[in-house]
Amino acid sequence: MSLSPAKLLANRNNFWAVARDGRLGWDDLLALAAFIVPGCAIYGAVLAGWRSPVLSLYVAIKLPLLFLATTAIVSVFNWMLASLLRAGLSFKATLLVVFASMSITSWILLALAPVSFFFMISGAPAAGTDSELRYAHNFMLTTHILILAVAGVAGYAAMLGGLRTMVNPGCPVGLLFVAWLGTSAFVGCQMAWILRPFVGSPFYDVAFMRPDCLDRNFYEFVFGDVIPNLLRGGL
Amino acid sequence: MNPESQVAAEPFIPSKPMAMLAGLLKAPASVAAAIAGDKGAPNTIALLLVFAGLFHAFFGFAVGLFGGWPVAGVAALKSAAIAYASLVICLPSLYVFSAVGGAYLSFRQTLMLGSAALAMVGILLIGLAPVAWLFSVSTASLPFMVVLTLMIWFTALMFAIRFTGELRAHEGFQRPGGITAWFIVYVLVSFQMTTCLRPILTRTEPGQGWITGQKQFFLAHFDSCFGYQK
Repeated sequence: MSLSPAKLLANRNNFWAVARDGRLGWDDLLALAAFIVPGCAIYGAVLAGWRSPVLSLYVAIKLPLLFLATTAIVSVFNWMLASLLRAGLSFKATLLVVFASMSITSWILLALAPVSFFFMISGAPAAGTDSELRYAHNFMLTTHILILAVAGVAGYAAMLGGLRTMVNPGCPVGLLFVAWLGTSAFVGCQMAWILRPFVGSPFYDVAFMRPDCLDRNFYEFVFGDVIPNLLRGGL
Repeated sequence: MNPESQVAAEPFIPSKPMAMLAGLLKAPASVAAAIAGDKGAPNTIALLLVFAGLFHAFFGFAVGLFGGWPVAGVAALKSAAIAYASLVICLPSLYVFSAVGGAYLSFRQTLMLGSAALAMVGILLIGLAPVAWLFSVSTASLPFMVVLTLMIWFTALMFAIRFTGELRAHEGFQRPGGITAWFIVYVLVSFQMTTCLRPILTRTEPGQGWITGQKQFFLAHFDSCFGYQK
């Protein structure tokens, strides 16, 4: 049985029903991955396009890498948790649910790539004063955060629907979903921190990764810098 | 229960342009049925787009009179261009958002829905164009005209959103939430397109063409509109 990402988009219920019946193989997983990589790469190229073509190329590589690396790191834990909660999901089925939700995310990113591209070419100046560049950077950053958030929410909503269809009766679907979501978010934030820059600040040189990317982690930054600064009122 | 309410709306097959417009205005459920059943005539999309462009241009002319006759002529062209270009940029997201939301449309249905929604906005804009004209020739306040134009446009959009809700009556389209969410994307792209083609209501600076050509985001542009004195 072969289900393409297009069929997943057109009829998700049918996709989950076929998956529940165990009629999807590793080739279907590969088909989803083969869609996720170029889908995220295209959006990644647009994401950093305002800064420079080189960073655009880097982010076209890094965005799919971020998605797939996060999945690779959490997938064993996801499968073990599903087993502990008696969801009845094999390792392949676990990956299938995650990849299907990522495919929905990729569909949204692909759909909004023209919107993002238009904002980039019509709004973001290539040169200007520090103040103009900072404004452009902040606007592009906010736009991309919103788009990625919408795409992520749609993907995880699809995942919840898939889990409800696929797990055994009696399995606490909500708990399983929240645990998967929390683990992915926890690891994904750190992975994104390591792989930064994505949007590309105009005040830093273009680089594939920052030289200090492994010096400290995302949570040290949030709890060591951001929150204390907020509590001090920005002083 | 009213027996008539149990009868599904007959798919509206437009054969004459005026009949199609009447359908959008008086029986939007029939147009929605035609979209859901993918039963529009081959020229339906083209006619909807032509009328949508004409209506937007007429409205653009009415509000453009704020800046004088030459500005009004250019504003008419720019208004139609904003509507068309925004729709083109947003068509992929309409296709994907509707499917992700649970209402799968073919690409042809997507195009028909987008065209019908644009025509519906245009019809409402035509209805409110006299109001826009009245104020455009009787005020010197650009902020007032911007607010008025946005209010009219949002009113028209509300009816277009309501029209897409008519799809809910049809099998496979009970969840049009994705389509409703798509309108947010359409609004933001239209704002940016307006910024891209600025100025709409005033003359360009001496030496510039019809558009300024400078890159700017819509928030900065609309902010600058509120500090303008004619």
